[in-house]
Amino acid sequence: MSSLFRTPSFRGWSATVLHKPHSDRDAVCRQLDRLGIATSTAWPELPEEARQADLVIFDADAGHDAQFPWPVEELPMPMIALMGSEAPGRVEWAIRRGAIAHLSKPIASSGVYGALVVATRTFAMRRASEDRIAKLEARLACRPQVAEAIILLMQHQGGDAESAYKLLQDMAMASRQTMEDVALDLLARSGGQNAGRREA
Amino acid sequence: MAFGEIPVGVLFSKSGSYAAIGQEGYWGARIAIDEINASGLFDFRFLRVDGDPRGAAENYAVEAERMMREAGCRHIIGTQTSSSRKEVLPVMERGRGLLWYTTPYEGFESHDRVVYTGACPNQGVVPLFRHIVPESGRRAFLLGSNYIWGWETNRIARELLAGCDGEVLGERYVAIGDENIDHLIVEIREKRPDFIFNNLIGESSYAFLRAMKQLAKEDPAFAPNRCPILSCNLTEAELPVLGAAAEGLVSTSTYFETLDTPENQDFLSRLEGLRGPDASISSMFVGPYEAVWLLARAIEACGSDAPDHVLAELCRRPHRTPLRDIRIDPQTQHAYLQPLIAVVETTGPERPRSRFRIIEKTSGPLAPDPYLVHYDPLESNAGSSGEAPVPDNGNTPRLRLVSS
Repeated sequence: MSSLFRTPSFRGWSATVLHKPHSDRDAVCRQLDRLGIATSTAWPELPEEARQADLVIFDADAGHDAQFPWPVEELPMPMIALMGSEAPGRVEWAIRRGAIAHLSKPIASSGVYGALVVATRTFAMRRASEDRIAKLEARLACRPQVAEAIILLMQHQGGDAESAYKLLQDMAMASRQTMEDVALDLLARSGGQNAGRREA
Repeated sequence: MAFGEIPVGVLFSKSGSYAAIGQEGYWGARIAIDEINASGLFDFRFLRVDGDPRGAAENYAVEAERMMREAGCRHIIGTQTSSSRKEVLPVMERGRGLLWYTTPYEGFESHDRVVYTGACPNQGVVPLFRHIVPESGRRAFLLGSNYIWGWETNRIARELLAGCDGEVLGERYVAIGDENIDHLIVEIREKRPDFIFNNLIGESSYAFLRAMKQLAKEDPAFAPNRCPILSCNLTEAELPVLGAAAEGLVSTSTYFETLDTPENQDFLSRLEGLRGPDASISSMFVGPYEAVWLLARAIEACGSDAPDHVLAELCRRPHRTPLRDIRIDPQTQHAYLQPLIAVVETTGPERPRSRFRIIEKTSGPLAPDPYLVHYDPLESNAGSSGEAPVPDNGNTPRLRLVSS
């Protein structure tokens, strides 16, 4: 049942809308309100507290980096851009600033719910990919230790590299750890020269 | 204040593939307009402006544009399918008019230029499942015509079933109008569900229901009392077409002809005089009929027919129609409605025509929740968010049918 699609609900979320006072901003706030989202507005700058919001919706037409209290590399939450101009420089800026969905101005009576679902889903997928990549990178960094552990096992068991690798794999499976963790354990216990050291 | 004549658009497909319900909608609006004009209650008259898009979605915007531009309509009663409603929305936006949409639909919309008086899912499919699952079981077979109504309604059904550890034994779609449904019968016979949720429409639905009646004759395990067939949009308008095939079908609506109130008795006897004793009245008729009355009451109360004033007045307090008081939720512009669940009884010696016997009524009008924001119908009073809001990333709370 974990694969079951659930109706996305945003009840209890908080959103900050970075846009000058305008009917477009009002239309966005009205739609957010209908979805049970607590909304605050900001202009010309996002306050530091905006970092705690579950969602930021920002104006791409008049927006610039200095409005944000966090650096451009950081993406603290899903963000949606409000776009009037489709000039490529503006679109590019909105993407760089973290927009993963957008709404076209003028804002009508619909669109926010769909954009929110896209943005939150994309954000969750991006987070999951980043976590996965970080884990894989950490494991990759342990290649020297895995090689060393295989040599150690070959010396102890007297087998070839292939059976030593297989043994390491079985040990990992049995103890429900990664091969890298098992290798580090082995080296630590044998007092090997790279023991306990993860090299980047 | 004297307004003279106020033009009102009546936009239903009186011809085309779903003319049966289009005609009902048209007559509902028309009779309400005539009643209001003859009542002497108001210091204005409604001037009916008709348009027939003939069941083609692309004609709706053209007709709505004509009603607003040429006839000066600021209020339009009508559209029934979601695709036709979506066509009309940009026209309403441009002209700052108000569309009165009275058909049950799949929700997930809340347009500034629309008043919604038909049920959304928390007022339709949710109460229907809450009724049927404890009674019939949790193993369902889902069917639909291949378009948004069937897809979305069945998706909610899946979610409801998952919430009570139920099971979906099959989910099948057929093209609109396709009557080739033998493969569905074969599969249902093999899977033996506890109940069938039928979101087929029109000819496909009729063909399916007739074939199921045949199957029930061959195998009593598929009789309506053992494997009921559910619908969210079957109304009195379709009972004559179905005849004996309708026996035992379970449907939900916010109006059935058999609604037992003095107001409904008066309403029906008035209509019998107008439409004859053989015409049955369905929610497809009642929706537009009540909408026109709401419009008249709101104009009377606020002294203006400007859409923004009318809308503000509607949202301010409940307004009276000949059948009941109706309250519009200011946040979503949808109506508070009382879901009813009924089972079809076909003709017999004591009954000249088929009817719905109401088997369950929710205790009072239910707040609309078109985006299912407050959905947890058994745990809390639907519509009011009692608990403290918790960010839930779309995973909780789930739709629930039974608390255990």
